[in-house]
Amino acid sequence: MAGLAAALLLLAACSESVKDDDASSSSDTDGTEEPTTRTTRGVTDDSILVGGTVYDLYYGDARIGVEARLKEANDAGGVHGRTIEIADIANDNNEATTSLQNVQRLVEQEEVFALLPVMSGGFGGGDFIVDNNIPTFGWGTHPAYCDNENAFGFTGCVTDPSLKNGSNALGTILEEQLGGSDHTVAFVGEDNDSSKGGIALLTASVEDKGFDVVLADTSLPAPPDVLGDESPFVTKIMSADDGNPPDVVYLVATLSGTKLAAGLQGAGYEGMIITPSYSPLLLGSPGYDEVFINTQFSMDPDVPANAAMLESVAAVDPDAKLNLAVAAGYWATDFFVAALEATGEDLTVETLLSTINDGFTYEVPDVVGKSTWPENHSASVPCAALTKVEGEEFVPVLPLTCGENIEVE
Amino acid sequence: MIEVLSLALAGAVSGGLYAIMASGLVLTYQSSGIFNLGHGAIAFVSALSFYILHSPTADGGLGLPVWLAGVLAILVIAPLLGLLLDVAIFRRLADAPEAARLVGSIGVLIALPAAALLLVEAINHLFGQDLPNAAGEAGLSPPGLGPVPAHRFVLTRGVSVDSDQVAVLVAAALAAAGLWYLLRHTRLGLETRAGVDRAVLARLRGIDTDRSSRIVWALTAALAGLAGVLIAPLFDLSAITFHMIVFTSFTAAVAARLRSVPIAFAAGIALGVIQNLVNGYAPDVLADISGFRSSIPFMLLFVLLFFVQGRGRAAGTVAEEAPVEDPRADLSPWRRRLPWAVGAAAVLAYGFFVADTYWTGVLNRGLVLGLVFLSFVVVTGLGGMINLAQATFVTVGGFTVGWLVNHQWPSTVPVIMNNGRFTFWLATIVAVVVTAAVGVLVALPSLRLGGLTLALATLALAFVGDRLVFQLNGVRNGSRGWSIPRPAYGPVDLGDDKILMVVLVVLLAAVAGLIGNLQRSATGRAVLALRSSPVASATSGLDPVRTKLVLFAVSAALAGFAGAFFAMVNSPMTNTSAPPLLGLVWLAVAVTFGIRRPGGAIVAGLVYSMFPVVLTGIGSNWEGAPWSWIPGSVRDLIGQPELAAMLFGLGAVGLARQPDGVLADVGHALRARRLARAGTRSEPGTHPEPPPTDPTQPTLSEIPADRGSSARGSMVLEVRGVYAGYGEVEVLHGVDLDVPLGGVVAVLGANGAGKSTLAGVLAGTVAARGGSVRLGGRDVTDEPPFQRAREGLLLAPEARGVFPGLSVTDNLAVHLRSAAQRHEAEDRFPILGERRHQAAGLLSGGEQQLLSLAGALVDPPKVFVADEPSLGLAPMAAEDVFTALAELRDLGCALVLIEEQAGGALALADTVVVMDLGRVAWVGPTAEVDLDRLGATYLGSGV
Repeated sequence: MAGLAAALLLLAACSESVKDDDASSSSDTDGTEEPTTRTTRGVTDDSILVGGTVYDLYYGDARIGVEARLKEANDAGGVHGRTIEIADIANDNNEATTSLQNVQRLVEQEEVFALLPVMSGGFGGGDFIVDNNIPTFGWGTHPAYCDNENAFGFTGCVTDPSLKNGSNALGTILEEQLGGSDHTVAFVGEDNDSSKGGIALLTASVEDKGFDVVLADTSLPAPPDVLGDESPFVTKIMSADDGNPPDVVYLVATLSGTKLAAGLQGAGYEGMIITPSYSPLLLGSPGYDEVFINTQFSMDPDVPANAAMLESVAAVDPDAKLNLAVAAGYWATDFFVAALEATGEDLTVETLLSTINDGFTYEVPDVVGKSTWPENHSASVPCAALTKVEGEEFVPVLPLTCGENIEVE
Repeated sequence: MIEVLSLALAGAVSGGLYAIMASGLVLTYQSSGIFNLGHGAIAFVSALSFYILHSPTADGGLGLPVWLAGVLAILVIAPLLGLLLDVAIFRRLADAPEAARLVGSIGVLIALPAAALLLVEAINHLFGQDLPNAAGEAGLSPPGLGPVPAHRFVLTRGVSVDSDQVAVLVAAALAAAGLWYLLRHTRLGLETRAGVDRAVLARLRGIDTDRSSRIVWALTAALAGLAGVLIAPLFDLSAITFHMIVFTSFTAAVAARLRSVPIAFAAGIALGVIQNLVNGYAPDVLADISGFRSSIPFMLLFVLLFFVQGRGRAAGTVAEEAPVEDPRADLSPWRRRLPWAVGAAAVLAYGFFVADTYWTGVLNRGLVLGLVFLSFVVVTGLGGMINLAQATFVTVGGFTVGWLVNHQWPSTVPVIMNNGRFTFWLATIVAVVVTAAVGVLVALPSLRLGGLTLALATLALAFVGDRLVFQLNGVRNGSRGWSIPRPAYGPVDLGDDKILMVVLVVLLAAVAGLIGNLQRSATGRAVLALRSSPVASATSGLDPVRTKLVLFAVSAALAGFAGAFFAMVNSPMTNTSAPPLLGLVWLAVAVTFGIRRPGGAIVAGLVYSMFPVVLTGIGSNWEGAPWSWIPGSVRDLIGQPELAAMLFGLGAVGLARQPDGVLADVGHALRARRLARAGTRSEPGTHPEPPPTDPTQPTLSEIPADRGSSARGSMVLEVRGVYAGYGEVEVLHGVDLDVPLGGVVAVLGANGAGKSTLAGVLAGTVAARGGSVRLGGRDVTDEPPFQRAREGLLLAPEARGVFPGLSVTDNLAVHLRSAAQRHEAEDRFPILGERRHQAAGLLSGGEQQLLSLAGALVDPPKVFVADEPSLGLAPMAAEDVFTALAELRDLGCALVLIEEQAGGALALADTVVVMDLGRVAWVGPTAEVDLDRLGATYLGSGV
């Protein structure tokens, strides 16, 4: 007892100080002290080491995309004479602490130059990558990709944690597809605050174009719970527009989406059902046929850039099917390679970061919309594409279409 | 209205799953006293087996037809798994404290799915197979028993059910009917219910309780397997989904007070209906609160727990424990602390001079977890309570600190604030207060209800926190979480991992010291008293609720304190940094290493942090590593995260062997070595010499002690030189006893003479350490009680020999298998016929004693041993009992009447055996008994 009391007294006696997080050491080194700090961890004259952490269940296939793009680069002699090697792309099981430990291991023990890819809903390494100035690349669906100068999502910061910066991309493609905005829309998401935030942004997106949002319901069971019986939600949706079904139903639900779609179709719903899940595994399951898929980048295999990607993917894994994780892994790596090329031969953490954060732009024609840095640290790329499931096939409906960024109330 | 009905019907369908799960939970709890938190793991494994068996060969599966895969998964694999769990784990835990039983089932929860996935990996790696494990198939439901794709039946507009759901309904109904029939109308059901009601008595009545426990485990595992195969197509194939469905069904099991299978079943259905109606009709105000609907089952669970404590079982839920032996008790205090001081110095030296940044970080995480685990020492190690919400307290602590150090106030106050934000140390103190308060709030209503109730209440809290409170953006700071900047106090800069390490070691030592003080304090002593005998300590003026509440609050506060540092090393602290299931894993790991003393917790923290890192290291392709001789495929397996999970789970399961944890094991081994070296090792198996008789007392030694054993050969029961006792205490020091065919032997002796122990040795409930017991000429010394009962030895134990929870008819049926025999018994004792359907526990004492004799009268055994048959009965009732005993004798049954007072027993007995201090002091025909002399010498004066 006495020991603890003494320790507390001691703590209280010395005044506590905290490093001011607005002026963190990383930004100091980026700016004025740039020439003096040269972090070359994981970089040799002829190689660059990278590694990442993913949630295998959702993003495990990102490995294939990353390998495919790196093989392309390495087969072409590397970037500025350096080949890029993968130390490890570890599974974090969607656990915050595990992903942090993965990242610490990769940086401190494997000594990777950059984190590629980081794709996990439960990512817990946000503070680590900022405090230790680690370049990080992936798909910016996690807030760790927002409001810092280290993390780069190839479509920007997708979900702004302050819910202030949105885009009208969804509204734009809906208007295009339906030939006008005189329609009603219902959003159904999961029972947690992140789903609620996501739906607030989507609602703003379609309202910006003049659509009438008649239902924004976030009460589907959130993972790890799964929807047991979809009936209550189906009844609710079917009467959302003053007793009538709405024209468009957008289902933002990872696990329960197809089930609810099946219920809607079973109940005779004839409008447009949209989900964000582009997964070949789902082809053929009830509730997936006839559904529209809204993606942030084009999944149309006939677009030249995608065709080239598929060729590279087949070179590393002939059995791989195109899905969001594969594509996201590929484009995140493509972003990284483009940034390395732009940085030049003198490669350090500092030169890479200052190159990107100083007006670097990234775009894949007709596939990934244009991002500009540092602006996209706090905004998403306002583009989207639409695909429709027809039987066992994905049929591209709308090519990549871009709207603009909007401010959300 | 039609909509409501259809919604309710559709809800009942998904409620069927809860119903099947809840019935299984209640059944195993009733039959083995294990509330199996790992029930979902069995469901997962059999669903995974079904998936592998049924998947087409093109996908790596075995391509078996649905029916065959179903039969194998549900009726072969699942029951075998149940049997394995029973034999390897749960049966050994049956007599362990409640805490050990719960943690054992947590071990199953953790280890079983991991082991199954690892097995799939191993087969794939080592045998070049490509078995599917359903990983990476998010949102995809594997096929079930029904057609693929499922048929859909529309009930009304918007309400439809598909064939997979109908399969659930049909299976649930069949399972319910089958269970009801089995329990109520079969011999197995009767034996199971009897075993549940009073296991020892059931064994004395010839019931092989091990066998019925095995059958129940196989049966419930099959039920879990059925639910698993049904769940997979409705949801997905990940272990956590299965655990969540089981956790939700706890609500239904508790609604049935953990007693009634039919009620649990109905409550499961009702739960599904309630969920659907809430989803369909909850007012918007509630719907706007994120997570409210998902947490409804757990709020219900919390409320229902207050009603769980029904009749009768209260005594069973309070763990009465023998105090643990400290293997280091013979060492001086500083010698005991020395290893820890050396260990701390070694950790610090390693951290300072050898470890790189990465390993220092790993060590720091381990030290912080050590702090977390110390809170288990207080609540479980010291208090004997189980808290399944420790991760929640850690999160509360972390969030409190996160909010306080990040919130910008308009003005600043020196010392406690830093530029308008609270300092870390002040925030930590607040976090401690807040978590202690939350702890009190949870524990206060549930503490008085016993171990399992508290555990479930904390589990409910954990999930309400996880789904409701920690989901709120204001609480968790959105999905980015709270960043905790590391403070510096002059030269003590916690931003430096090495300095943080020193601070953590000092804090650990301080907290360990605090806990040591707590153990030795008045509260600590009160708790020890409470644990060894709640009743006695309550009567000596200890308030058990207050004492336990203090411990619970201290433990919660400690977890909150640890949470502050947990948030610091894991910054940013999010709602997924310490999810509820992680708390279960922590508990399992802490208990594995021992939570009686602080040392085990600290070691557990370090091991938990370092072990997976080491395994991953071995699994990686590090060139020239010392383990590079291990084949790559095996190394890959070692690197699998499932291996670490499985080993931690198995550690908890290992409690079945050593309830005090690994460190206690090590301690005992070291002590044995110390003793061996000192040469003072006591030799087991030697019996102390009889105490010298006091020459001033009159002795009866002139009476030949072998008088009664002259007619050898016609003896139905022969006892020779029996030694027996409990633990280190020997009670019987070489007892002989002979009971002739049809004879009546009265065993008399003062309190503590060893009479009941002798009865136990006769029936087999107390093991003889030496000597032999022969029944009808056969040596039965090593036979279990139920075997002896079947061979004709019936013991009516000291308390009434009835199953209080079973009806009078069922009580009779345990011994009398045919209805004709039962009618005969009811004819003999009309009162039993009148009360046929009443629970036997509601009969008067005399009626209960008659009930316990009734079976024997109709179907007389060879030997009937009655331990204090007239104890506590009114004279009239006692007379009835002795009349019945006389009748039994007249039927040719040999009687052994054990009595403290000579009383009615002498009137019946041919032979009298007098016991004193664990020996036979006198044997002789009743006619030769000199009551005055006997009484004065051995029985006290009141003959």
